Amino acid sequence: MSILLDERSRVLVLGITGRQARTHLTYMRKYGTHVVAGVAPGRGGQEVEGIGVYETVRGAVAEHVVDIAVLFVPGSGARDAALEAIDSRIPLVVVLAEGVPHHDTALLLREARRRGVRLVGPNSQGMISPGKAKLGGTGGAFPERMFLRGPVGIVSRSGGMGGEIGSALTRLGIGQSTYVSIGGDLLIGSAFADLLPLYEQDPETHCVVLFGEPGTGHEEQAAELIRQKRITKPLVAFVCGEALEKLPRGMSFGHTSSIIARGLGSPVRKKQLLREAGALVAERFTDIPQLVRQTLR
Amino acid sequence: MTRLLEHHSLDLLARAGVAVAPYRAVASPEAAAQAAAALGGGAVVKALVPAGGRGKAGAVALCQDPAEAAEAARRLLGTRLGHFPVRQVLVQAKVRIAEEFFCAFTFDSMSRGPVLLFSSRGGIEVEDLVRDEPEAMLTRPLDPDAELPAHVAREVGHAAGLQGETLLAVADALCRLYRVFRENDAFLVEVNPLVRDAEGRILAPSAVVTVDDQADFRHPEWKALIDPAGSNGWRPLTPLELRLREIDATDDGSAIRFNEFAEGRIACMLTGGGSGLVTFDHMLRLGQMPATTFDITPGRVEEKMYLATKAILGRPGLTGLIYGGNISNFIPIDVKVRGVVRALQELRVDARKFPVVFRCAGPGVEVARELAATVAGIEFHDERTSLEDAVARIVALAGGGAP
Repeated sequence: MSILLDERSRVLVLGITGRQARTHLTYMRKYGTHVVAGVAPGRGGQEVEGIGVYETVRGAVAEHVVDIAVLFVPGSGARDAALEAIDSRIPLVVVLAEGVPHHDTALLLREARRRGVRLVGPNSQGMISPGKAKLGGTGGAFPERMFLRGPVGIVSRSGGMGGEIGSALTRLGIGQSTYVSIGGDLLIGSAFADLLPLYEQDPETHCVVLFGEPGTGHEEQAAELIRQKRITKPLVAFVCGEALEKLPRGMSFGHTSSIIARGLGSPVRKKQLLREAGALVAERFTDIPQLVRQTLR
Repeated sequence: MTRLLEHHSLDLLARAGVAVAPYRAVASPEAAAQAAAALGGGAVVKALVPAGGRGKAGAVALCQDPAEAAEAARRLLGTRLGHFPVRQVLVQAKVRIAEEFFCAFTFDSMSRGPVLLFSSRGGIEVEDLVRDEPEAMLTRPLDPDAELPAHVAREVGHAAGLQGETLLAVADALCRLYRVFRENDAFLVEVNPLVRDAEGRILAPSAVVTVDDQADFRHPEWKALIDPAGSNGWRPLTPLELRLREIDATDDGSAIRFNEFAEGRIACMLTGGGSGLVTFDHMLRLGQMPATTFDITPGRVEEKMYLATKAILGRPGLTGLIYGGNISNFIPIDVKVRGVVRALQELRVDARKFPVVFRCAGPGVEVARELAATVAGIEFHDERTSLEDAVARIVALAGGGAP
């Protein structure tokens, strides 16, 4: 098992004719991702690697069953493409674009909620269920270099550091069930509290590593789930960004975002709440593999 | 996020039909006197900088007549407020305050959309209010795709204790302010205080509007409002930061984010948002402040890396350089390394005297290792060395004890 994605998941690629999409389409399929169709407005009827291209998502889903839509679309076009996928009620929509305007993200998150669609991103680097399938740039051309099938879930605000965690664990022979890059924006579709319950239900996952960042209340919410015993599997947590608390305020958080936070957002406080709830908090990134190993004994 | 100057913010409010205290931006004491005379004599003179805290800093003056306004302008112009030079002052009509409210529109990570914040306790520092009387701040999640319905504005105002004509006028102002927020791709619209004056009118003597830079592709009008060299969020750009912006502008195939810190001595060019924070944390833990932070998005990067490395190493007082970042998933890392190494060669850097640590992992690492070997003394680490351990190496080599 794994969460969200495996070798049976039927994937629709939006923006499939773009240069990046073509590159990653090759890598994804080589790894085992089951891509059923693509969409590129204005280019319907073409083929990319033998995959049929449709003008619209509606056209694609009329002929294929689709479990996941992955968007290779720039930030300026993400709202339109995501709304199209949400409108067709594709159960999982993954938005890779960075730089999606906040007003656009707010709108598509609201639409996703209304339609019961799970949205990952924006600014996600994708996800991987090692040995089964992957989405987006995660793992690149040779995912086996960084990821190995096994018992550890990874969920990270940073795509780059999620890869570091996978790579460090893999070097020690510790495999992963699913790694999800949830994106580092203020507004995201799937936060820790949305995904931890899935890992809790997944028999293959024995432990989860969480990589958190300053701002928002998502790490605090994860701590609350553990406190309420809704998450009982071991959680290894790392929260970066203590340095920002020592820098001039304007550099990190704006005026009102700190108000909304109502005391949330500080890495020190996040770590304290996670520790009190029973998570294993790594003070140094380098400590993460050792803490994971402890939980697997 | 870019904070607009106050007169630009007030322009947006006025255009949406929010009553504002009449204002004029001027750059000389004479113009300040004229503006005050046009406003009826007495006026408020404020330093026009993209930062808060002006009242506490003594940069807001209540003037009785045009002569006093000229004097206040003379005192403020040419000074610095916080980090910002004062090049203009705002001359504004006085407001006779009867009642003060707080209101702001922004985004909330937890309700995952826009929110209205409102309090009948306006005028005081918001942080103080939220800390001391959190129940006095009302929060209402809003629909991102529609106007603020008048009845919702009335509900919020009523819950804060407003009634009668005041409630109706405040609700009307809130609806207009949400229009400003939505139509301008704002990240923040804040009016503190929103005022009921002695005549019973609801008006905004001041306003903070911060726009979302990620939406600049659909706002050509921002070019006239935003000074690209203006601010990095808390102070104006330094000459080196300006130079990096110039380098970034040579090619839109990738984007550089760069900051420098006066007190640091080790140049950090560690790319990736998360890895930048992890390594910053670790450097502080080891008692060092980085001299720079640097990030570049994927794209055409070799020439930019070359120019950036040359510019950064031109900063006086550096004791070492750490370059690299988190393990790359798919982007070949040798392209960037080629640019960095070319700069190091041209600058004749001898890494046995000026310590240089590389931490490079991902596709192209073997080529990167060979390139680094062409500069004598570079300490090269791959994914077997954690980012923190690489930081510890440069601190050991170039830290030279406590900063």
